Amino acid sequence: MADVTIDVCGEVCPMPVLKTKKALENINSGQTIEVICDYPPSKENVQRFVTSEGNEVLEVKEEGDKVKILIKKR
Amino acid sequence: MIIGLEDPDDAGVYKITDDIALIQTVDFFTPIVDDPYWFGQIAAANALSDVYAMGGIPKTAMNLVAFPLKQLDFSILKEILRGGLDKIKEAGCCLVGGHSIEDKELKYGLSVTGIVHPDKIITKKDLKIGDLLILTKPIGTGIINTAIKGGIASKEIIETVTYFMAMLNKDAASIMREFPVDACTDITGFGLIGHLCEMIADNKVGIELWADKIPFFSEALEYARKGFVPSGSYKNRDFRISFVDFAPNIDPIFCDLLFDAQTSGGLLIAIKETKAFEMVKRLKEKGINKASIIGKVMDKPKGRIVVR
Repeated sequence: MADVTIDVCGEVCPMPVLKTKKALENINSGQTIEVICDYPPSKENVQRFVTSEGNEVLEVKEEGDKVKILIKKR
Repeated sequence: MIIGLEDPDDAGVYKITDDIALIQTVDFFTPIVDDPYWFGQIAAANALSDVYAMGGIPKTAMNLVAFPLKQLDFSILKEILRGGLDKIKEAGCCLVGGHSIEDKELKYGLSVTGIVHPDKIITKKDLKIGDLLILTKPIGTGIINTAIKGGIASKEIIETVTYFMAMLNKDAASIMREFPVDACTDITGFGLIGHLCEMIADNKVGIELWADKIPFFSEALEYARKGFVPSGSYKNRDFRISFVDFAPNIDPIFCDLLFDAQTSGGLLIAIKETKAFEMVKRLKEKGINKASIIGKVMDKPKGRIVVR
């Protein structure tokens, strides 16, 4: 279970990345966020953003049309 | 009809007399920069570009407008149209009318009619083995526009990319018409690779691209690494990646640039090796400073693009 969950379904680029960025700013080091998205490019863009900032992608799960990305803040 | 839907090119071409053929094209899109005047210029430059890519000269244009009257001030539309008109005038073209509708989302563009001598039409498909490929503007505008929407683009890169998107392909086309060019297209939504794939779709030749020669906005690499790649660029990649062989030393993020959907991109010109360097020299003398020879037309692998 993630510390924070954000649902960005229905949002298109770059909003999922921006909402992930904001969520990351509001948690502490070592805490986790689950990002739920349904826009195919977001799956790759969110992971890129997360790793470019030195954070960790712990898990990527596809469930139907949705993708759940579990992130750990560095 | 000389060029129509059965073998589509950058624009349709219809022969009127032995000396004149009409070139017709239309293009419009939603805002990509915040400033309405610049958006108008960019949309107009983008719409006019297809005529230049066919070797023609734009003569008349009509505005296409969808505007959310209840949400936006009318002065914004005035600025967009002023930007468009300035580019139409710069192109030596006449604005002869237009059509507007009310819509939830703002859209602007032009329908453009140009002329060309029927024997001097430059299509995208007559590449010859040994031709060099010249690109006249840097790539990466799609990624940078996404970064602009995300509010992370620097002021400097916004100004630079806006300048290039609003730049007409008029001067590049004027120089191109002085040379015996084999093929030309303009780089827009399908990205550099997508448009190259169209050029070699008949599987008669292949392309070798030289990664270190391709002009690009360096900030685009940074923004792509941070996840500001537009969906259109991913779609281009998914659709065309099976046609491309990348050398192992090519940075995967740089590959994204090659698929990046461009707005009002440059001309991609195929010309004999003996003339290519002279053309680049002439382009640079005319202020098209980023023009570069980016690759070569090869006899094989046919229908494929090799990036080295």
